[in-house]
Amino acid sequence: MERALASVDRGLDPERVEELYLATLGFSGWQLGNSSAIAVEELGRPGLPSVRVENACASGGYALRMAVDAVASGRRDLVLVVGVEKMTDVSNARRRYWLGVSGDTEWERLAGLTFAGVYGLMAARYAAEYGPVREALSEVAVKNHANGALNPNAHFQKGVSREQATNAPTVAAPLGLYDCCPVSDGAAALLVAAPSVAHEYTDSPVYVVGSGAGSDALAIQARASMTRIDASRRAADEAFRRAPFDRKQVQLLEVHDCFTIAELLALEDLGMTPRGTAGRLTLSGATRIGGRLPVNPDGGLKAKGHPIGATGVSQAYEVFLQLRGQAGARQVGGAERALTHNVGGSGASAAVHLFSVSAT
Amino acid sequence: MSRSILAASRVHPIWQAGPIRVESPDEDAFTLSVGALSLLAPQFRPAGARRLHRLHLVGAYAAESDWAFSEALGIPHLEVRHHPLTSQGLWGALAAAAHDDAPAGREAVVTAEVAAAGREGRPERQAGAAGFLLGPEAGLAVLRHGYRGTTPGRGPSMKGAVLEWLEAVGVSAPGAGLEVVFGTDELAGRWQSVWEEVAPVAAVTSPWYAAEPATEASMLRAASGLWELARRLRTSQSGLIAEVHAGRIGYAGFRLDGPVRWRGQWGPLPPGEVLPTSTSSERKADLGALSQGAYVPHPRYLENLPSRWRLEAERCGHCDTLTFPIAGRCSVCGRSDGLRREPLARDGLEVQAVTTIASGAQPTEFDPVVAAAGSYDVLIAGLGASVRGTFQVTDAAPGQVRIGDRVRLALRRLYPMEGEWRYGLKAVPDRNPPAPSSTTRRRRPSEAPRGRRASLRGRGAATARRRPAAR
Repeated sequence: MERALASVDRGLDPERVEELYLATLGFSGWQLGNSSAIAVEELGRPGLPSVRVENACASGGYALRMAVDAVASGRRDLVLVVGVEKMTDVSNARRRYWLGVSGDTEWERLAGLTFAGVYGLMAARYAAEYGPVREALSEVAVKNHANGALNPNAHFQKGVSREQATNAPTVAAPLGLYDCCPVSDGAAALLVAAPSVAHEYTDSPVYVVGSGAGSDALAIQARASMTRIDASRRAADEAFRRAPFDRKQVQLLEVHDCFTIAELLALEDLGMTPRGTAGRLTLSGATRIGGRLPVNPDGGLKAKGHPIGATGVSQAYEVFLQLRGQAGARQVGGAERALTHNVGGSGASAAVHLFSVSAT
Repeated sequence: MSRSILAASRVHPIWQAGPIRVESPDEDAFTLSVGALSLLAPQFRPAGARRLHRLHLVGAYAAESDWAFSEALGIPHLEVRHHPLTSQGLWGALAAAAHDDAPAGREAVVTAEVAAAGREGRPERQAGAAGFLLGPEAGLAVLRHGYRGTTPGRGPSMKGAVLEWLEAVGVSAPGAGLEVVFGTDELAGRWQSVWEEVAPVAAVTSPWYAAEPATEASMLRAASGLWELARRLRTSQSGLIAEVHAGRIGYAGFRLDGPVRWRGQWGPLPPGEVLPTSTSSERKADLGALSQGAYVPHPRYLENLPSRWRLEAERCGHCDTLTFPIAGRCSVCGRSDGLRREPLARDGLEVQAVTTIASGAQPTEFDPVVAAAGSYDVLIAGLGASVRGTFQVTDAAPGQVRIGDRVRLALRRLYPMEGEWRYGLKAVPDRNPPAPSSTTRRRRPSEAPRGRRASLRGRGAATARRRPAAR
């Protein structure tokens, strides 16, 4: 929060912040209730209205959505969105418990699944429907690790080879160690301002020009398909409905790659490539920085890390840097229109936002 | 309507005890019994004249058995009676079930046991269950049965004992056709001589329990003896089971009044078939422990049982949609009236997706499974045309199941929660997927040599162990 406030181009008096949305799962159970009260205390604004937003791994995306709604409705001019998760200071056993709390408890969990297993099932099914996918999964890992190596805030700052990714120990077949995002600590914060006041703070704001959300059954056994995340499609459809640009004009994506298969599914669910072709697109190099459609230039959840509540907020942070040309070594040249995609559970909820350097 | 006694049995040498902790696989007396009864299920109905109205449990069953069998079999208000875990308990239960005035329907006897077996220094565990369906039209009559201890050194003479048993089944002058199953753990050679002297024409056999490795499981011995006897009896024939074991003498006489139909198999697993080692902990401390996660409150767990145990779905009377698991409303049109419960088929299910969960990717409550087996498979199977279910794989080494394979579902232990075991359906790879009904092959009746005297410790045991009985 401090860094976000301090980063404002023309400075910002913290007293101007009108409301705070805190995205966190409450991993470890520490201060599960009323954690937003702690956030406003830390901010030094104990009187500020605040609320914790919880939508599993999509908490950050939904917190942003609520902030955007608060501003777009005219109720607020300046809102702070904070995403945070502290995941490494609990025992292994407790961590594994918490890693599963957002999945379907009554059927998937009782069959012995956590998210790695659920995405393992989706990857197995994807391969059965569209053909071998191992190389494409490894390429997602290779690309995102390479991008993470360019991001000083990434959890992993080291590249991996295709061979390393392909031959890694199994976690939930066919997914191996390099197909899974790490357990990370992290936080991110955004200031969402009404266009009417944004220019008091900066000459180069990034505009949120589309916001969409969608949901689906929690257990994949109950979904229409095991190789689609319809919540993502619904969220994207809503986001694009009133946006000033269409899918073809997106120049940069931050997608929810909690597992490598999830990045492939996201590209298809968001309508960036036809069903069954995301692997080919990835293997062509199109999704690398410098490619036709760069995906996860910050390293994604895979390499940057996935501190649950922070993830959706940090995606918007990356887009903010990229669209302002401040992304340093990982800068996507000429990026003006971007999309963030944040998924909760294995696809029970999704939030999609569209960003642009211009308001229209 | 068939006049029959049906039996379903199985015995698995299920795990090596040895130096490892006392742990069980995901089968216990309850799941083994449900497995045995489910083989009989085509012969009884939840309602009507063939309704199963009383269940005799022989063995050590948890308190929740009193409602759990009713729930697992989908038979409301099933009456449950408990009998002790001895041969006498089994024979008494059979006699009660066969003789009770049961106008309301049928009675079943089920027994299961998980026990130590094997040679000294090479301990194994064995588990098995046998179910017997009886009732007004049962084919098996229990003539008499008795069981007593003997003061060491003062038991009846061997000859006197044999004569007493023969009298009990109404065979004063031993003639041809008497089938005898006799088991002893002492002086086998001398007993054999006595049988040859007193009843030279009787067919005496000694079932697998008399062979090595001897089992400590008294119920398995008793059930296996009954299995062997009933398999050999012909209509209108009398049979005798007698056992001399650990200073106790017991006997029971039976008469077969109708044809016997068999389901299942009794004996050790066929060569090459391997059951996994322990997949869940039986330690008392774990039963009391609160599992971390997967917390399903007890009332919610009970609410789910029709789907979780019996694979029941709901068919919408308005739009014909099938909803699984049951939710009290249609998953498409949302209406809650006109829903019909519909049990889904539990075998021949097609695997649509499968993953192998390696160590570290399992929820903590499945740590014992990973500790024992290293990893486990979880799959999604199609349940009919339109719905799917998620199941853990059991009775198979991890990594064996492929998309497109067929599996069947069996009730097994999941994990302990708040002092009791939680159960649910798991997937068992179907090694013999059902053929289309028009071409289903019937197994030929067993062609056991009949009326032949088998060695008390020899060939009879071997044939009984290897031959699947299906008649």
